[in-house]
Amino acid sequence: MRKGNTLYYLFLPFFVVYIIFILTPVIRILTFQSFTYLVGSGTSGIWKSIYYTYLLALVVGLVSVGFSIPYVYFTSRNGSKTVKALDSLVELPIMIPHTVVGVMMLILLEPSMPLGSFIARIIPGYQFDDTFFAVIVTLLFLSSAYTIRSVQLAYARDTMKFENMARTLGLSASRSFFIVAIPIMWKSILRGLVLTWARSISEVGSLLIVAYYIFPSLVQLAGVYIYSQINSGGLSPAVASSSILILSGIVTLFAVKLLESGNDRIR
Amino acid sequence: MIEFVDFSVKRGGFFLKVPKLRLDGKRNFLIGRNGSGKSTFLFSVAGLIRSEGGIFIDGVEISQIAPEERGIALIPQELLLFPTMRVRGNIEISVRYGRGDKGLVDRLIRSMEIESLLDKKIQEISSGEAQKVAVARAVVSKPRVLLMDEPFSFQDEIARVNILALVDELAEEYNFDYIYATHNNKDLEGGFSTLTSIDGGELVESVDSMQTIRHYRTLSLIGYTNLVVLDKKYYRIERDAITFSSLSGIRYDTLEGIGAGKIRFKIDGRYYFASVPPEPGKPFLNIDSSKLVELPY
Repeated sequence: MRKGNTLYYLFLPFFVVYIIFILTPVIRILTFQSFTYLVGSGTSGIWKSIYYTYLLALVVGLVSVGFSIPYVYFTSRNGSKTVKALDSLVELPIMIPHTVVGVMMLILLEPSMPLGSFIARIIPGYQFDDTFFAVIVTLLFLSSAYTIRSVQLAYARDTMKFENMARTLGLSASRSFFIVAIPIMWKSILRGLVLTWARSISEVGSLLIVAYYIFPSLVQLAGVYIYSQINSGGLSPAVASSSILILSGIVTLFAVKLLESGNDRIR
Repeated sequence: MIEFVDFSVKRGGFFLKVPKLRLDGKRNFLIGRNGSGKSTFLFSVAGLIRSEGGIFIDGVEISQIAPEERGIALIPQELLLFPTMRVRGNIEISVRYGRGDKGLVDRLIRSMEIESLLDKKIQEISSGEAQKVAVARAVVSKPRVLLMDEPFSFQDEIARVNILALVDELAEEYNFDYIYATHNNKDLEGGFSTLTSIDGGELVESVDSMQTIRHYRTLSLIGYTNLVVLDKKYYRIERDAITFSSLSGIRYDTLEGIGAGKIRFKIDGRYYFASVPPEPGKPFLNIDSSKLVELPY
């Protein structure tokens, strides 16, 4: 009810200001150069960079979904204080400066380090820095919290009740989970995947340390690529590449939103 | 027959204790205030909340068995029909993936007259239809015991009585016992095999007729009249315990409308009601405590 609700009209400007705050820099960067310049800049190598960035971010998103589902099942059904305390660590990577995360990964997984050398003994030819593996592990460390919390919220709040219901109808624990619970929370899973994917795309700090170039193709992920453009070619090519990245991101997020708002698949 | 021995549940700071309880017969009602432990009791019987002690169904101990193997179906208050399935999917889920009986589905759908709902989404059916679907889904799973946690409480009287009658019929036809949690005394009007009262996680009493109810807490859930608390003791007011006076006593009001024929009075800041016809011209009442029947709390 808006009529007579002063608070509604009092808070409306906050909404407007926030939207303007978000949109202004985006509009500024998208209109900084002509469209023709943007199209011409597409040959600079940004598309290859975006392709790898999106692909690797998707792999990170999928791996994080793969982890989050069993993780959430376990933590939601275990009420112990120890598990609750350990679960609160999920957000820890978000608060660590990302360059520090890069350093952490290096001193953990480089073949010259204890754990890295152990892996190298198992996997001959194992390398860490400047590999796809380094990118995926680092981004997973930084971004998986978004999937876990999205799935956890949906599962603990609503889905678990339906799953328990199914068990009283004679469905085993695993059938109740896969046949009843997963379809009910697929939107939350998708939302978590998109958040992790989006967060991974925006990463720069840790990638500068663990994978400035990715061997053997010497590709740079989008954030690193744009950073190196600023250092070597000035603002214009970096802005063009940024605009292409933002536009492709908007299109992708819009497509995902459409998918999310579509009808549930009802059996 | 359902039997509980040294049954208990601990949930956060809430304790539910049922030292001994035997529910003989098909129609078992569980009565208690909101927060008394009815839902905790039913969910733990279904195996969804961890409990201690023994639960026996027809002599078979089931407390250590997984929920899906207990033969106990549950209809919770919010029904929990699966939103990603149509009505047919909901009803047949136990046939496809659980212990359900395919032969039962068509018969049940016909007898419950829900054929027209089968291809509908859950979001497209009314709450009354959803309740029927929830009952059908539970019965198809061939339960030995059906637990109902006030699933029909938001229905009007006629609809609620109807669906309860339907559950009665199904219990006879498909041979299951049920436990129905309620805090509405009108649900008991169709009769019961047992009536169990719980309060604050404690089993108050379990009776097989209205006449054998002894406890104040149970009676206060069933009706609000003819009960009084004096000096921290609990009493039932018999007709001749109240006398009227034109001079002194406790002032009372006469109820009108649906409460006509009853009086209301106040003792120690609390209102009480009695089904005693007032005497005109006598605005005060006196209670003869020797004629009150003391009740265990």
